[in-house]
Amino acid sequence: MNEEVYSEIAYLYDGSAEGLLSAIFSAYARHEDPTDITTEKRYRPRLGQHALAIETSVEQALRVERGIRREAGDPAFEAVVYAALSDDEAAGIKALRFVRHCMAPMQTSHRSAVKRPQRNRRYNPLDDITHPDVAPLYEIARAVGNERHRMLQFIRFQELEGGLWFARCNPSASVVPLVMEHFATRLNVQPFIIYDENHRLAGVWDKADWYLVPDADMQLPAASEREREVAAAWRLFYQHVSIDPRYNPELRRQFMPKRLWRNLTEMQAEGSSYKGVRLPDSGSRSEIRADLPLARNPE
Amino acid sequence: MDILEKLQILADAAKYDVACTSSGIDRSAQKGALGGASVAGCCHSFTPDGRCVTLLKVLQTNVCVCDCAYCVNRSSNAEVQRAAFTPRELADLTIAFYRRNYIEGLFLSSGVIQNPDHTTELMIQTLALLREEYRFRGYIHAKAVPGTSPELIDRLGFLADRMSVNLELPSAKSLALLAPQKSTREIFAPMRQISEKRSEDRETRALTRRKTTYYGDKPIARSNRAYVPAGQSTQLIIGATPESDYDILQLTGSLYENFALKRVFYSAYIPVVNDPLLPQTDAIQLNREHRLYQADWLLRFYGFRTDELIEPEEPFLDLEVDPKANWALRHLDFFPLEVNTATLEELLRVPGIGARGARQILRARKHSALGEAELKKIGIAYKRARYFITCKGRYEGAGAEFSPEALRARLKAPIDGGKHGRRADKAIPGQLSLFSSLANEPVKHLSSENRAMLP
Repeated sequence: MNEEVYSEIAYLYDGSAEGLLSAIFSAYARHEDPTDITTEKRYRPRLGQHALAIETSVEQALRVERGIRREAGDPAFEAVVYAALSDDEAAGIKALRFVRHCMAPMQTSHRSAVKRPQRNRRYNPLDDITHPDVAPLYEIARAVGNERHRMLQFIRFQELEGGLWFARCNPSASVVPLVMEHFATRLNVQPFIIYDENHRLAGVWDKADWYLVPDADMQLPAASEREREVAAAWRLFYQHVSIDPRYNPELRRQFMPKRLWRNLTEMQAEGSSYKGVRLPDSGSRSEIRADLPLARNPE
Repeated sequence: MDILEKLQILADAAKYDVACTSSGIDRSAQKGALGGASVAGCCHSFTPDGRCVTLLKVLQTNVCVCDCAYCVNRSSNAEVQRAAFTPRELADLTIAFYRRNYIEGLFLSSGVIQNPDHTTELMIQTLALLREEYRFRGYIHAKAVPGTSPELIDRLGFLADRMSVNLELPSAKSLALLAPQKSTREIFAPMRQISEKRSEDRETRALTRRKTTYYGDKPIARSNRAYVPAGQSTQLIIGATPESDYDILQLTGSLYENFALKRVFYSAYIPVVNDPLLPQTDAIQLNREHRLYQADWLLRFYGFRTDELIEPEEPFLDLEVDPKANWALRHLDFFPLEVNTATLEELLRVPGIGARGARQILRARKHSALGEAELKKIGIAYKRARYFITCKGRYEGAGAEFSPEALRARLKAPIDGGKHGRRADKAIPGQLSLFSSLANEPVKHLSSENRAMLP
């Protein structure tokens, strides 16, 4: 009893959506109320706080997923997944509070006598966006959703020797898992890799299926000859489509944040075209075999 | 001439067309085919003027037989170099850009080369290459050239997602003055044709979807494409001719009503050629354009009617306050509204509450009564809305006199045009051209006979 008064607990997960769902599972299984749920990298210990590493379990994650979908519907579950991919260090705990709110037994609302509607297929806890348990998660999920949309807009592919396509990006949330479906269907005719430099995560489409490779080690061929020409044509088009008398760089910056410019073809100087990559070293990593996507797409 | 040079010339020539949207149609991707489209559209880049690049916006050719005074490609303009894409070049360039996620599709317009039919045939060849040979499923916006025969317009409509015919000038008189080769009849003919054909096509497609017998679960194969599924749009030039905002909005309103247009675009006139018929001033009416767009949104998403926004006695929109606030100030008897009970239509009339905010309020108030803190969380512009609402019976705008003059002073907001360029009232060197012209004459309000051309 004494120890409980003085000790707080933090859950550390691996940064994936499954990891966060496992952490939420543990909070219920262990009858605990952690004060922080975050990744090891982002964790800053509080005074007198114990840290507990949560092992990612797909089984537990699936159970949590089923529970949320059943009680609160698909949009609510999607919001939790989006929050899991956020870089915000409080995202985990906000997600837990939201899940507890969704799963709590029916009760009158926190402020007024308005009864919470019957849970039926149309019940969506996200509608109640002014609720103190819902609003923080809603904001995070929206921010991640916005970053996902920015990646749909601003990811730029380059054609490499041998027919592989490669895109580098630096999103502020780990949104590569959220954009893979979009590009894998739309650009299904070309095998490609999307590499997130900030989260060191690669999404690979091999013309049959897409999958994620964390901490990937890649040795990629140089850009193709045609790539330089097309990039030059795009830069030229970009320069000539602007109308001088309407010059308004503040507006451009608002829509196209400067932090993303370094991976935008049209914002790079001529001749700085891609010359093959050697990604930075990291401790443990898995390999992407350069021949993998290429094998299916012979020259 | 190499392709880069052509791209440079033909992109330069197309940039004054403001329509650049890829919205209005959802087309899922298909295995083995390149591309898709999403109903909300997607901007892929933003130019230094803050406008978006979503489509590869080029002309098939900038050779033109017309001599429209406002147009950079007018036949008498000897300063402009002329070029033309072959259909194959343009299709290849579109695919190359699309594969790199530079663009959402193609925006194809053209100057009139030889005659309208020949021009449209060239455009059809390009689109057919993309759709049929390359199986391209991305977005295509095509311009209908006035004067083209109806069969060719139909063929183009089955290949494109959106079509547009540019009206350019808001009255028949101005058109006769500045674009002598075009007539209003010629412009409205393809517009009407597209709108009629489109509704006809939608009906037949809906019929084939319907189950007509107890047997035959097999749906009827619909191999052909839909006709202009993303609708049609048009563009008006603002400030080249003396029409007032009243004329323009009347025209806009009737276009939405009669031709079911998806969008009307406004383009503040920028002097690109010297012509004694045109204003050659430095003052581009960007703020006026901004207010017209705001009014346009009110027509399309807020349930306003044209006559509520503007009256013939005051034919120009107020540059100090936006059109919605202006309406509210003239109808203070409508306010204050109780946010916890007002209908969607009522909420949409409150300055500071937008289309998204109003719907969010409806959803949130099912769970709890809304007060100031909740409204701020929902993300409406509370500091504007508060003068027009009550929350749980309490008036939120306390401290201000509830009169048009007092509220007007609080709602006044200058249009943010950035810190650079014309919108910030700064001229860019090398852009000045101060010729004596008609622009110095006072703006005259159009007489009613000139408005007779409105559809």
